[in-house]
Amino acid sequence: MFGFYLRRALHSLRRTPVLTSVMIIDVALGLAVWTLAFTAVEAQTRYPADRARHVYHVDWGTMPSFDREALDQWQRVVSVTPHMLLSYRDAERMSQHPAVARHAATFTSQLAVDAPTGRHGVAARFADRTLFDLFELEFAEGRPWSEADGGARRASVVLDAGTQRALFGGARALGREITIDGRPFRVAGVLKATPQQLRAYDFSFDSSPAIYLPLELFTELGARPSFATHGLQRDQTMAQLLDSKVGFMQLWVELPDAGAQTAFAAFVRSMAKQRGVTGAERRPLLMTPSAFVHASVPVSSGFLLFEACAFLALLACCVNLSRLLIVKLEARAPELALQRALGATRGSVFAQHMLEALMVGALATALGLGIAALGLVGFNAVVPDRPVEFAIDGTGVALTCAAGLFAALSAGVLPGLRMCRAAPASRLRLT
Amino acid sequence: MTVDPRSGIRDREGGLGYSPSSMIDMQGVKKVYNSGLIALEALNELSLRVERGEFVAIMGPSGSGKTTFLNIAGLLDSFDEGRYLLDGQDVRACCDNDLAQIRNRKIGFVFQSFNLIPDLDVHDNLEIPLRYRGMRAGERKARIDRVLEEVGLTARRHHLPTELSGGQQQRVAIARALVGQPQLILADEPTGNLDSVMAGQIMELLARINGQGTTIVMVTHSPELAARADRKLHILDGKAIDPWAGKKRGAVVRARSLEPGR
Repeated sequence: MFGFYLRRALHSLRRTPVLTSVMIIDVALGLAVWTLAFTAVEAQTRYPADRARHVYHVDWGTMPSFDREALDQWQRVVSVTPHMLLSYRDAERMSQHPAVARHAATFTSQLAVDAPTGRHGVAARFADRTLFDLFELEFAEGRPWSEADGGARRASVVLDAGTQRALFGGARALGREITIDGRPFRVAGVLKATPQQLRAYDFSFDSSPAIYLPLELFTELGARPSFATHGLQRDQTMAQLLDSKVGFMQLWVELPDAGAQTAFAAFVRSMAKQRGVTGAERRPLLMTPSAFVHASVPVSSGFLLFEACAFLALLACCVNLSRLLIVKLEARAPELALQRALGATRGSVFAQHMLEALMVGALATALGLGIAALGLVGFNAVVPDRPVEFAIDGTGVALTCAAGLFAALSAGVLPGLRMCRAAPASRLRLT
Repeated sequence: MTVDPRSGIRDREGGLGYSPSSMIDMQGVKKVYNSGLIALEALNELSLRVERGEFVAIMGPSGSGKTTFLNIAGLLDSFDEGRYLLDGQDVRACCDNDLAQIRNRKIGFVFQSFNLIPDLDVHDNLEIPLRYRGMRAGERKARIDRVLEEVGLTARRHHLPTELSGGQQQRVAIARALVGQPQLILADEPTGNLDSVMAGQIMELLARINGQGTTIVMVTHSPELAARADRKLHILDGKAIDPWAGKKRGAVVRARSLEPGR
């Protein structure tokens, strides 16, 4: 019977090509606008290194007690991010759990760097070397510091592409020296340029260019964290900071399977209990890089407004499609009434109509995705100062398909019910 | 309480209340169309009975309620009051799915405007009621072959309705009504869009079908065509009037005597 319904739906769509085209274009435009908006918002919080698998951010899962919605974006970052930080000792203890295959602890600071182009205030990221491996960061040249470097490891840094430009004026940096706090450091590697793309362990895409240094150096350099929980004091010594409960470390762990995740989560939970952490697990204890970004990075309210407007536009298109489907059904009413006279139930008439609506939805989704893809290509071409490279990914395609399905179903239900509720006699062409 | 052994219907008043030989048994059927402040009484306590195997012609002026009667008789419309037993089954007690099944299995429709689906060929048009019956493809084909032969359109199997004459289209419509082997055919002005020669052929076809035992109820404006039925009924102001009451036998004999081979 499905084949018969499908053929009838196809015949029906082909019988009124203009109306069918208008319906498809109507929904396609709504979907395209919604997909563009969704992609723009998603791109702001998208984690680019999707290859990082089985990697989780660990914290206590606490949240600020005040209303986040009342805060502006920056206040939100500042209010939320400390809740995602661990003290040095807690991070150290967690990273030693047997379920953890690999780990990377990291935090940011600000350092004054002397380079050929002069003195610069630079964001410095102190990290375990495994950070580069866990996130599969690509190098334009060189490599991270390693154990094999021996003593040189302690005097090696990695630059990102932006920092290389800032410190060396575009000249090659590999193997050259910079000075931090009067101490020379050799550039061991330069990360491949990513056009201002968000890295999961950064809290926002607009963070300034950074240099990466071995974690163990931060005490020697006296680097104080840029973000920390309450309790960080100016006159605190490094030794006091290490032993304090002040949270300033991000901890990323690799948990290779579900068993390891469960065991590690239970361990963190028991630690939270021991430590008397209040309000733990208001968020998940373990977050994928993507979930971490979504939880920590505020999305521009302009983009959210755009997304809301786009959703309204999609709803308007659904309403319009519903009206067009009513017109189409009126034209098809005698045939459907005839089918009911010949033995079709209300359900089968409704199913035929919904199949037709779904076919419109499917065609509109394909067209809408095409329009959105073209729109993003144009957007990338004309907006040079964009935060990220906009593109529709698999999630975007899946959500657009879901939105297309939603549009078809929501627009089709009312006309379909209206049609199948009517007595066949009222629609049958009798003369 | 009496129970009809064939249909299983109980009559609470102590009698069967209908003739077991009735195909259509309507008692006091009322149908009102409400349009804003205006209420139009299309059927006004209409009572009539059509026996199995009868060929009944329904006549009456425009707006008298003929088509409304046919719609209700064919379960294409609901009614407000009264009782309607179709082949002994109380249709008011049936849900939509039951009604669809009864339409599919017991009733065949023939309309004045043929009501063929224009983008389906003859075969596919005939297949629709059989598909809704859930019949297998082989059996569908056998039935369609047989019925096309009966109406003389085997060679037109793959023609679209627009490629057929009016008479041929009406024969296809009759074939579609027949293909499900219904007990009752409801025909609404089946010759209304045809010339007299075609109309004659269609009437002969209907008479032949009736001769095979199928009950036919035909609405017509034409006294000549109505004269070929067993019985003529008039509907006037929503009520059925049988001008031949008491003379029915003669009418039956006269109508059937027109059929060849009887």
